[in-house]
Amino acid sequence: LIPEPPFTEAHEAFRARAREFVLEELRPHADEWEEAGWFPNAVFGALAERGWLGLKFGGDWVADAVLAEELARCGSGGVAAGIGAHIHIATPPIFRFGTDAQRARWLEPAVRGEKIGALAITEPDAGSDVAAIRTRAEPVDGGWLVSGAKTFITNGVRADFYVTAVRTGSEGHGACRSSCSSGATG
Amino acid sequence: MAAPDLLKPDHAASRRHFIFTDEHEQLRESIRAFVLKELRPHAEEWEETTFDDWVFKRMGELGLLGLSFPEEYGGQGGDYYCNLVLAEEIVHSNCGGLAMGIAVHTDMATPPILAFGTEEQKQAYLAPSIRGEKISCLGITEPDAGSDVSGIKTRAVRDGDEWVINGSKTFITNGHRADFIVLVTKTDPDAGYDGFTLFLVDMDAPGVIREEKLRKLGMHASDTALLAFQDVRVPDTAVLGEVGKGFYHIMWELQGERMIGAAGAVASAQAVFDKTLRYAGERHAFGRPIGKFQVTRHKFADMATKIEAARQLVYTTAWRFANGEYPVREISMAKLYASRVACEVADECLQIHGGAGYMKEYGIERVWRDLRLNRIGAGTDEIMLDVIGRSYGL
Repeated sequence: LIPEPPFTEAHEAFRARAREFVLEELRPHADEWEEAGWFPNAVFGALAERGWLGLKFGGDWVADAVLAEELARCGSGGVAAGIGAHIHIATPPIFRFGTDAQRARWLEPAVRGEKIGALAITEPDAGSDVAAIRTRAEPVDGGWLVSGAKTFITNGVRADFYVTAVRTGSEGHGACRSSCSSGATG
Repeated sequence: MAAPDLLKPDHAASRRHFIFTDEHEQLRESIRAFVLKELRPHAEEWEETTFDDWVFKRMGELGLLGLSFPEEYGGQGGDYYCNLVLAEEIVHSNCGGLAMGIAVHTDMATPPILAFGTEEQKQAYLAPSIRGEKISCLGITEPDAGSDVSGIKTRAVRDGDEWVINGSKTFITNGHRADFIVLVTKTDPDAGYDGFTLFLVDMDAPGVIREEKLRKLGMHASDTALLAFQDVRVPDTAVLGEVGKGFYHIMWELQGERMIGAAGAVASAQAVFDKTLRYAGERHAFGRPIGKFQVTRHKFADMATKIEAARQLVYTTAWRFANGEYPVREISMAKLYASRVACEVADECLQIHGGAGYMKEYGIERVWRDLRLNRIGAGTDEIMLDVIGRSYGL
């Protein structure tokens, strides 16, 4: 059978490797991780070793889709969500909108599995109505001072950095995103 | 900081599925122009009278009856996707019965002749069908056998070097206008699925009786026949394909029939959606266009999502079919889903039109009636579900 577009023979070969990894390295731990409410950070390292944390940054979004499909077999939606938050939602904005310096500081170590990312948009009082977020960033000497609260943040406990949407202008559609390290003061 | 990279979607941008090329788009444009100029003006009249036979002659002249048939029989030598383009564009005739009559000819009755026929049969039946000089119909359903194809009783009995056919067929599209019928018969009542044989029977043969024109809920522009066969004698050369292989031949035929029906259903759903979207922008109530109410906006969003999903299923399955696979499960899914979506969409569009939708002048009630057939013809929803379910070993 010819693979259905947009998948190629190469994607199907990758799918076989991804499935093997998921079934052998992740699925046996699914019950234990579900019970613990946690999976080890080493999972990110194992994916990074295989070059799978930056598939789309090499231009192959379809391969990333294959990985997402195969992660569905890991037996734990939370594991798939944690990996997905890192590779599908936290790092792409840095790739797409980041400066060279930001990519070097956050994206590259994220792809190497040395830093774990999270995306922070939702707030206790702003969900579907994204434009209603109240977390603010005020310009100060040497940077910005960010104040506010975010909730329901996947990877939020383990993350080394957050890509977060904050308000820099007045009310309305004036929000912008910034990256900040979770070790930052405050 | 980051360059302000403001991305906005362009919902009006033209787009094309990967199965289609520039040539398909040119074909689409020329068919659309023909349909709007030469067919659509007659839609109202044909609802009353059924559509005229000249449509076959004219489409034959234009090469539209043999888009994917080989050039040696007068076809255009195109790929399977050309048939999808025709099925999609003929919807713009606003005449469901016409679309069905043509589809029966191009995608149901004649493909088995190319697939299973002898050279003589191809010259005698396929070539004039492609030219629009002969009109075809397909005889499967009987008064006592519909979904249960294996229950058909029309008998063909060998008598010397001839066959004698007795029985009846019903709900036969093109049955009154057809020059010949691709007829499913039982030739060996003890052989189970191996007891069926297809025949090519001239409709003017002695003993072929065209009974009443059947009256229907919709598809009024098509003629639908109850046919009787009384001691109809045909030569051995009238056997289409192999004696005893008729059931398998017709199961193959049904795949193309379901595929093209699904494509037409999606295109019909899109057409009535588009028409209703315009209406929702023009019709005002409570101080605003009715489309601006969230309740209406969400109806459109649901319909659009389902239509798009059905279309992708149809195209991807057509791609597999055109590549020589025999994706019976997916064809059944496409036929089932597209038919259901088409009926849901027609019903919601009627609801959005309100009283206007119930009136004949808006054309919505006709679509609503016409599309209802999709959940029955070519295999009911229930048969599709059973084919799909059984494909998983259940």
